[in-house]
Formats: sequence, structure tokens, C-alpha cells
Amino acid sequence: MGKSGRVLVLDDEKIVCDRLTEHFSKKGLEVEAFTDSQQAIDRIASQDFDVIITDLKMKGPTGMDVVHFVRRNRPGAELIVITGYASIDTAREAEYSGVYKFITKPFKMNNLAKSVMKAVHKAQTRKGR
Amino acid sequence: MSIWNKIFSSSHPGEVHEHGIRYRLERFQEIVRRNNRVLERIADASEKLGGEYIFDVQYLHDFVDRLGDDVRAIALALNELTGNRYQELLRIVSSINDNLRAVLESRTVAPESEIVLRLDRIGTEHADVTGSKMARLGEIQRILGLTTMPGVVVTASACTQFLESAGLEPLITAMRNTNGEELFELAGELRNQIIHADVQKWLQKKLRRSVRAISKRFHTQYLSVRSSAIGEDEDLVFAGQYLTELGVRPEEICDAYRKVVASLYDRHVMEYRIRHSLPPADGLMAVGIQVLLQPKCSGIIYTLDPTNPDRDVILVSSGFSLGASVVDGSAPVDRFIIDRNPPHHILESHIAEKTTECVINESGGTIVREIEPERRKIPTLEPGQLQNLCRQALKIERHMRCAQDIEWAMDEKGRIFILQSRQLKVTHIEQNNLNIMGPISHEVLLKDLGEVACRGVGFGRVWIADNREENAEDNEMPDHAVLVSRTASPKLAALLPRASALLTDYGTTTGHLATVAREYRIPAVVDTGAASRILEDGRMVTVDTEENMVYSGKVQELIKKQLLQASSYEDKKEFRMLRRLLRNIAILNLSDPTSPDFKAQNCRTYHDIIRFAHEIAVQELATGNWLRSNRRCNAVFRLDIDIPIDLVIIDLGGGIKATPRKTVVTSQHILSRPLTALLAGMTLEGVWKTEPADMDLGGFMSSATRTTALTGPEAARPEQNVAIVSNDYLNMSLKLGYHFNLVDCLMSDNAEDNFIYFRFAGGVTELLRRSRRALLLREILEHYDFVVEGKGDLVIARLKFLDLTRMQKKLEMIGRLIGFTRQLDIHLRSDDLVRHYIQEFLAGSEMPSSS
Repeated sequence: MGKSGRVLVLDDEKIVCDRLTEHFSKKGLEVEAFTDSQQAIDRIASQDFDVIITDLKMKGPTGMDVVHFVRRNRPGAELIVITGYASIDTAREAEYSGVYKFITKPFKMNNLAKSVMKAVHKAQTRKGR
Repeated sequence: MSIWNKIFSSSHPGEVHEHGIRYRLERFQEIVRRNNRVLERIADASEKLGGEYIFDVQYLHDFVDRLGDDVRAIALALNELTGNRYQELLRIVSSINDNLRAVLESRTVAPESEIVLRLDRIGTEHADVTGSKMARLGEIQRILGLTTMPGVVVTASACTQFLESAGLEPLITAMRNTNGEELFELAGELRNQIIHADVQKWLQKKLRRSVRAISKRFHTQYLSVRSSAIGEDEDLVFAGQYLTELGVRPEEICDAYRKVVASLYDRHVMEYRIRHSLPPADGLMAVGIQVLLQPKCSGIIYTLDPTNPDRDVILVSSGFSLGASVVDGSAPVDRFIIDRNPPHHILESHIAEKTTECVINESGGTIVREIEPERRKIPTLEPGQLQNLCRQALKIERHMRCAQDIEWAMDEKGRIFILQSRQLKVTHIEQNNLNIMGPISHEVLLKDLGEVACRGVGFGRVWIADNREENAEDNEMPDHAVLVSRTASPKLAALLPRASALLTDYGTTTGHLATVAREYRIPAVVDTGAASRILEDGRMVTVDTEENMVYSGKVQELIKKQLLQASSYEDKKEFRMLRRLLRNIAILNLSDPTSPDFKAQNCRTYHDIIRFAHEIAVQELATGNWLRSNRRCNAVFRLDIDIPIDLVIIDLGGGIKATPRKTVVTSQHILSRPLTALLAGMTLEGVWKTEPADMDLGGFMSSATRTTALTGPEAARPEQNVAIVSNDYLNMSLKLGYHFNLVDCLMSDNAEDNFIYFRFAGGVTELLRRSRRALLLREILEHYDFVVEGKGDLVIARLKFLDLTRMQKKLEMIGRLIGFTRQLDIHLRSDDLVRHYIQEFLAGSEMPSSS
């Protein structure tokens, strides 16, 4: 069965990475997950992804650092921000940075999956795939 | 002059002298408000166990913080309301909070429990006190009815007390603050001290008494003493890391207990903990003490081939006598490959030349001896015994919802004993391959309808609960049915342990039924809107709530995937933490307000505390005693109404239309939504029979001697019928003759906040007739979807999360029920009449049960 999109998951909580990897893989997506934000940035620099899902508050580069890096270097990718520390300000900042979706933990996996599938479609349409 | 007359005799009805009253009412309302919030938070957190949500440790911290604030505030408010009568509640809140913190910090703390529990009375819900190994064994016996070696579990609570009284805490604390070789040296010292420590006299007594009882009852001289560590990962618990002592004689029980506890600090255990980022110095041991019989043979059964799960086979290995050589692979054993499908044909047999066997040593312990040459090539198991073993193993697998790795033994009579059961580990490569699955060719019956309450896969024949007539032959749900119902009625909860999946047309993921489904890990979807209509009774279906699909027939690939992946989320650290937190929070031990044990000091969980506080607060308000010190109050009215209830209304604000200097109001003045709805039901034509009921001699004699006290140790008699109201709130105490109704409810615009609490007790006749009336009330209230409890003549019913329209209907029904049952106990001369009056009430119903 072919893969229908490339997704990167970044969250310093291993459980989030594990569960999203499992869930999205079942949906036929190709998933890479990272708990270390610098490693994720390095990977984004070398590999094109359709969707990048990132936690907001992490040690080292923060989620917003990742958002800015992606905007500068991978403008074709869609961004989804997840966090347990939601605030209106960060949500607004994320919106202004062109984030596709802002999701607060705890959240339903299927809801995130629907957003991811739409974001993959949007990214691939933009890239002309 | 009664307090009520004093209030009404005030020369200045509008004058405020109400600080005390208002303050106490505010405390009461605070208890109610926070009580509901705590229940919501618990329901919300329990919903997260269903696997549908992503959450992290921070969520668990927030949950514990907020819940703790609410429960502490409830305990404080109850004390303010009752003149500090329940101060011990605050101590209990702190103690529970300490336990919750320990869970969040991955420390192992034993919840308060009995010192010794019988194995046949425990289940997985006891894992925190008995360890998961023994808890599962108990469940296999208690719920599945399979045979295990009889015995008891010495709980983690005993271990804590043993270590404390042996003065070992300082050494354990020192270990927490050290590492490297020094840690291992301290562990060695600790092990030594445990082995030589005195077991306290009371614990010795309990151990010896338990052992005597086991030996006497089962005529055995030898015991097995098994480790069952608390709160640690399965590999550590099950992989032979801890000590198991076999062939222990009753007089050696204390030695064996100490040795098993000491194995918590064996070097290889410490190394394992360090390797897996578990706190090396923490650990608690429950200890199983079981009968040890000399088995004919024993071994291991895998319900799937872990290296090739696509094969539909079961693997069995078996050796003579005790199973040591099978478990540790130290000697040749028989191996069998068997078809998973009935009748379980034997596909391959490999009969080994078995040279040695492990047996009980007469002087205690075990020895390995040579097997006589003529016995070495005899198969350990006959085909019929193998098939029986496979049936039992698959029964466990279906209950545990994942492939199993089971240790078993068989005696000379061919009786099988389950020794332990755990999830089968699949190789890593296979695990990864499971995520890639081809399209499913089965017909899709339901897709993406409703809300997933618990993730998983289940299959079976559809059994539609609504189709069942009472006393009909097909009333009994078959085991492993897919339970389908129009409503998510709490009554169905009793069926869930035997169901393989649950689908309802209506209901919420935080409702009682969904919570019970998660408790038993039954795949469940609620609020599908159509399941009971679309699915045919008796049809074989596969329910996949991971993807929210229902397929026609048995989808083998999904079922097998579930068997291998059941714990994909359940075994994650955060899920284990949440389960442990909820065991300290959500379990309700004080469910019966009439029990002599319904006391503050018996509260063990947050749920106990809020239930206790709410019950006491409601009763406190109902007595009116709290008004004695407050002689005057504005906004107190007497209701002028056609029915004889002599009701006084206290308006907290917005409940009564402004009527300057008036103390008597009519129903036209009532603005309180719940009171209006209740009175609408009470005043329906024909509901309020005013003629006196005929009473026979039995009822008359009983009425002559009966006191009017309410049932229950804490209950007291209300002095006056009172309704405390606001625009959306009602607390009404109604004493009608010899029985007492209490309605406490909130009817706001927000359905999530709304609730009804209805309490009924007492009566004029002897207990049997009052009990009949209580039975009638229970059945009617359950029919209208209330969660009902109580015993004797006491009925307590609860319902929540209803929108305004439904609240209106339910309260009208309660009003009608209050009138209908007013003197009904006198008429209930036989059990048959209960059914008759239930039908009569329901026939007069103006709303369907699902409303």
C-alpha cells in the first residue's frame, strides 16, 4: 500500500510521538517522530515534509522557533501546533505565522488526523503533486 | 413556637437578618457545585482512558491539582455547614493527595487496604494493592470461573507496614540519594536486614491464620509463595526477576515472606530498574500464598505464535511435574502446535525424551530428579487435555483482549490450574508490520457515526437490548455478544463484562455506561443515532472503534491485529499513571448511606469524600436545624397551592417574583424553573389523591408503632416542608405523612451543569411494604434513565447533563411520582401489585423513556 503523505511529529513527550506515529501510519502516512527539537530542525533542513506537527514548549529550540524555521526554509509545508500550554497570545502568534491549525492537549486523535489529512492535501496541491 | 413560626412572625419581613442563613446556603451550594465539577472532572479523565485522546503528564498534574482544590473546598464547606463535625475529612483529603503526588512522581505507595485478601475476591481493579500478577489471577478465577490454585494475597499495605516497623525507611531513603556501586552495597545491606527483620506479631498472626485456613481447607502441606510487585512494568513483574518460593511448609511462611519481599532489592532487579529509568530504590511487594499441589505436568501456552502471528495456531510446551524446566528452558520438554479454531486439532507434536523433573521435596522446597527411563518418552498431555487447555487459554485471551502467555499445571485427574497469565510479547518486526494492513473486503454496516468511548476491536452476534421482553426466553444476553441499545441506560452496565463491544444510539462518552465500558475495556461507540435500527439482531459483526467502523461478519485480520496490539496505548506510562490516579479518586466505597460504615473516617477516595459530603449536606439542609440560630430572614414565603403540602419557600434570588411585604405567594409568583416543573407534575389532575387510603390491620399496627425518623444513620427529620430556590436551583424537603422526599437539582441553560438528585425514604407500613414501594420507585426511576441506589425503604436517584427540555420532563415526572407514591405503600399488599402500579404509572407517562 503506497504512502499518501510525509508527516513529521515533534513533541518532547514520547507518548505523543509514539501514539501519533502509530495512528498516522495506519492512515497510510509516512511518519517520522522526534522528541528533540534540534534533531527535528536538522531533519526538516534535509527532508521535505507535507505536514509538520510540533509541540510549542520544549527544551532547546521552542515550537515557535520550529514554526519560523519551517516558514523560512520549507514554505510548502503545512504546520500544525499542539500544546498543553495554550494561551491566546501564542495562538495568535501561531496564526500570524501561517499555522494551519492550533490544537490544545488533550485532544482526540481522530480530530487531529482529519486536520492532518486536509493539510497534507493542501500542501501537496500547492506543491503541484 | 417552631423556627418557622418565628421566621414568619417577624414584624419586618423584608428586614435582613440572614447572614448566617445565606452563608450556610452558599456553603451548601458550594458543595453541590464543586461536587458536580469533581464528578465531571473524574468522568472527563476516565474518558481519556478510552484511548481516543492524546494527553501528557502535564494534563495529569493539572487534573490532580484542580481536583484536589475542589475536594478540599468541599470538605471545608461541609465543616462550615455542620459546625466542624467532620474535621477528619481534611486529614483524609491530605492523605489521598499525598498518594496522588506519589503516583505523579512515579513513587510506589500502597493505598490503604486490608492486609490479606482472598484470591477469589480480587480482580484487576485491585492491582495497586495486590500487584497485577495476582490481580489478574483473581480475575481469571472470579470472572471467568477457571481454576487457579486457591490462596490469598498479602497486600502492599502489609509490606509498607513491615518495612516501616522494621526501621528500614532510613536505609531506603539513603538508597534514593545514591547511585553506582554504593547503591548496590546499600541494597545488599537492605536485603540482609529484611531477611533478618522481625515480622510483627500481628502480621505473623495474620500470615499464620491464613496459611492454617488454606492448609486445612485444601488438605495441603506445601505452599507456593509468589512475588506480585506493585506498579512496575510487566517485564519486571513477570520475567522471573523476583523470587518465587515453592514447597514452603506452613511453619516457614514468615521466612518465605521475608525472602520474597527482599527480592525487591536483588542486584539484577536494581539493574533492570536503572536500565528502564525506574526509581531504583522504590518498590513494593504484594505476596501471593497459594496451595501447591504436585502436578502431573505443567507448562506454558501461547495463544498465538509470537514470531509468526499470521499462523492461526496455539503453542503449548509441557514437562512432567513442576514447571521450572519449561519456564527456564533447562531441560527437554514436549511441544505441540494446535489449530486455534475449534475443535483445536493437533497440527504438530514433538514428544521429547524428558530426562529430569522438578518435584516437591518432602522436607520442603523442590528437588530435580531423574525420570525413570520407561516414562521419558510418554507424552505429558493427551489430545483431549490439550484441547481443554486451548479452550481455557482462548477464554482468557478473549477476556484480556490480547494474546496471552499462560503458565499452567495439571493434576493426575486432568484438572487444569492457571498459575499466571500475561500479555504475549510479539517480536518488534511483527509489531511494526501490524500498522500496515490491506483494505478490508467485508461489508461496512456503520461508519464514523457517534463518539468513540473506548478504542479496540470486538466481534460477536448483535444483541439488541431494546428488543427484549421481560421474562422472554431470549432475555439472557449470550456471552461475547455485541451489545446494541437505543439508550445508554445504566441498567446495561451489568451486561458489559460479558459483551464484546457496545453500540448505542444515544448517550455520551462521559456517561455511566461509557465509563463502565472503559473499566472493562470493551470497545464502545455511543450516540451513533442509528445502530439499533441498522444492525439486525443475531448478525455476526466486527466492531472496530479504532477506526469507528462496524463490519459484517468476522474480520479476522482486525481481530488478530487487536490480539497483538491490545496494549499499544494501555501500557504507556501515562495511561498506567492515570489508571492508578483514578483508583485513588474514582472508586466509590461509601455507596450506601444506610450502612453503619457510612462515616467520614471510612472515606478512602475523593469520590467517597464528595459522596459523603453531599449526602450529609443535603440532610443537614433538610432538617432545618441550621436555621435555629437565625430567627429572621427576608425572602421567605408560604406557598398557597391546591395540594396539601404546606410548603415554605426560601428565595436565594430570582426564584420568586418580587412581591413587597407579601409572605404568601401562589404558583403564579414562582420564577424558579425547577420548582415550576416539579409543581407542574405534582398538580396534574388525578395525581394527588386526597382521599385517605384504606389500611388493613398489618399496615395499621405498623403505622401505630413506627417512628418518623428517616432511614440511615445520619438522617434526621425535617420540621417543615421547605423549598430553597433560585431561578435555576431547587432544594426541596417534603415530608408527606410518614415518608420523606428530597429533591436537589439545578436547571440552568448549560446542560453540562444540570443534575437531579432525588431521595425517598420511610413510610407508614411495615418494612416489607415500604420496600415494595422502594422497589417500584427504583424501577420507575431506572426506566427514566436515573442511576438508582439504596436499600430497604431508601431510594437515591441521580441524573445529570440534561438540557432544559429534558430537565423539565424529568422533574414533572418526579413531581408526578411524589404524588403517585404518597400513600402507595398501604396498597402494596403483594409483590404482584408492584408490577401493576409500575405499569399504571408508566401508562400515564407523557414522555418516552428515552427522553
